[in-house]
Amino acid sequence: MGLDLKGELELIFRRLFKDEKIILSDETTASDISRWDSLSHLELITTIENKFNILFSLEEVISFKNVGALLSCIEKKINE
Amino acid sequence: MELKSVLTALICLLLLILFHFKKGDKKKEILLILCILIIGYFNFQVLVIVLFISLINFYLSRKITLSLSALQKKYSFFLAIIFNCSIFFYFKLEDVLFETGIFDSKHIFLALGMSFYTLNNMAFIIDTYKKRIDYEVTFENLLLSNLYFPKFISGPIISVGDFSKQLSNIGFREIDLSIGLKRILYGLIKKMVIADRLSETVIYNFDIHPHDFGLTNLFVAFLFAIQLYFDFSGYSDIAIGVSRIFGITLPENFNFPFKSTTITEFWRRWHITLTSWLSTYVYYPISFYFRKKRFFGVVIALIVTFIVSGIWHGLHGSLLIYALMHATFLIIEFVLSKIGFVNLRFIPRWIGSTFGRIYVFCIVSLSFIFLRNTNWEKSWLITKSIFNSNSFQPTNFFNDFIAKLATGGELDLVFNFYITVLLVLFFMLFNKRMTYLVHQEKFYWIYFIVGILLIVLFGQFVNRTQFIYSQF
Repeated sequence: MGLDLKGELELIFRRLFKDEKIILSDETTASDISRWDSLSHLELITTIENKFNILFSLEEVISFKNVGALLSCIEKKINE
Repeated sequence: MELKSVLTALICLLLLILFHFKKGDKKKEILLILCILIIGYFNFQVLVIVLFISLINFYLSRKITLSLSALQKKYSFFLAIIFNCSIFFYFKLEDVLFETGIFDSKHIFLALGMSFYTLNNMAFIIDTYKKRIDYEVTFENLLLSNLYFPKFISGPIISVGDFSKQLSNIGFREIDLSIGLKRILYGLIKKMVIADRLSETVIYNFDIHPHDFGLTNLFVAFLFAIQLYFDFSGYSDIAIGVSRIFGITLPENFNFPFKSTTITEFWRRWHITLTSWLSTYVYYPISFYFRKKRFFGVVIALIVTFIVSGIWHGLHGSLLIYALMHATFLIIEFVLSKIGFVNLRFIPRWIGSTFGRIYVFCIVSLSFIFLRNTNWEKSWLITKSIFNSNSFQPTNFFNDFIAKLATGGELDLVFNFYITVLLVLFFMLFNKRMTYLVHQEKFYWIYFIVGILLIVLFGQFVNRTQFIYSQF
């Protein structure tokens, strides 16, 4: 499950940040991806919400320190 | 020198010695007494106001944490927000009323630093309510974070939680002393050698002898943007440096803003701690709430954030124009980035970035006219002259341009102005490289000698102006 999720997330990242070379790891942060700023972050969140049919809270979104944290939160929400 | 000043200086010295030798929590207490003494010495009323505000905020934060019912928590939270906003608006409104009459310096002092500690307390209350603080904040910590003298007047803004975490490890250390002193000297150079030299030209052309020549006004606007940068970043250097000596690392406030190629990037490099405060507590929650509206959500959030930023600077129409100008450009850039305007790959990168920097510098300089002159009609007249082709070009290049910028046509003034221009060019072009050199340990003594020489030779010692951001 974890691997698939990461793969799907990678596709979302590549499409949104228009960069086919993006490879995600748990430690990836916004500073690793040049177009990942506060403006595109929300687009990312909405895309993820629509894709997996989940809803994040503001506190969750703020607390994401890296892709790993984002992934585990998505996983938790899907399994709820 | 008055007896009061001598006594205060002596007590400060005694406290510094005690601060060095005492251990653990005692250091924090001594630092707090030192801050109370320093702020109280400059203005006793300010001290009383901050004490009162800190007490109320701490009391309400405890109510938020300890209340068992969610309703009670919410009630205390809103009460705290309303309390902080009321105090803020009361002083800012008085500010406007006073400015319409005669300048009242006593009053200006009362609101000193208020914009900054209001942000501090608001963030503290919101963080407490949202349970974002992972560190126990005592009343002492909150009071010290409000009264901490290096950042009291104009920041940098640091959250109470992050500030409190550092308090357990304060003290004089050799390495901090060396880094701190270097930063202070760098700040003094920026302030005295660049900002204060430019200040005379700006005051002369905007306040004493305003005129209609567009080109001259445009250059004064450019010079003011540079003055504000060196003034405010110089202040921040001093604040960070002084704080470092006590063992507290304050966050950086500037990251070469004039290297930005878009206004969006500019806000990530200019007054960083304010931008990040506004992002966390205004922009982000609003844009998150409206995230399903996609484009419009971002637009609404940007407009509200900049209106809040304008109000925070003061309740003047011109500041609102300043804020909305920036919001407009951010929205335009957002739209352009969405439709792929930035992907023009056929343009060489250096041409793009040069054009971008010129664009940012011009827009920022024009907007700063409204930030500086709180009378919007005056700012509007200056802006109009810049865009009026009939009066743009000065009739006599020396009399209406050089002499105006040099604050008079006398030979020594013109010579002095040319020196200022050379210094500005030097500092603007080599800003990044100089900052790098300042931080190199091997140039330590050379840097100090050159720095002090620069101040002695080119520094402004008469007609010094206060730090610009202390008025906000």
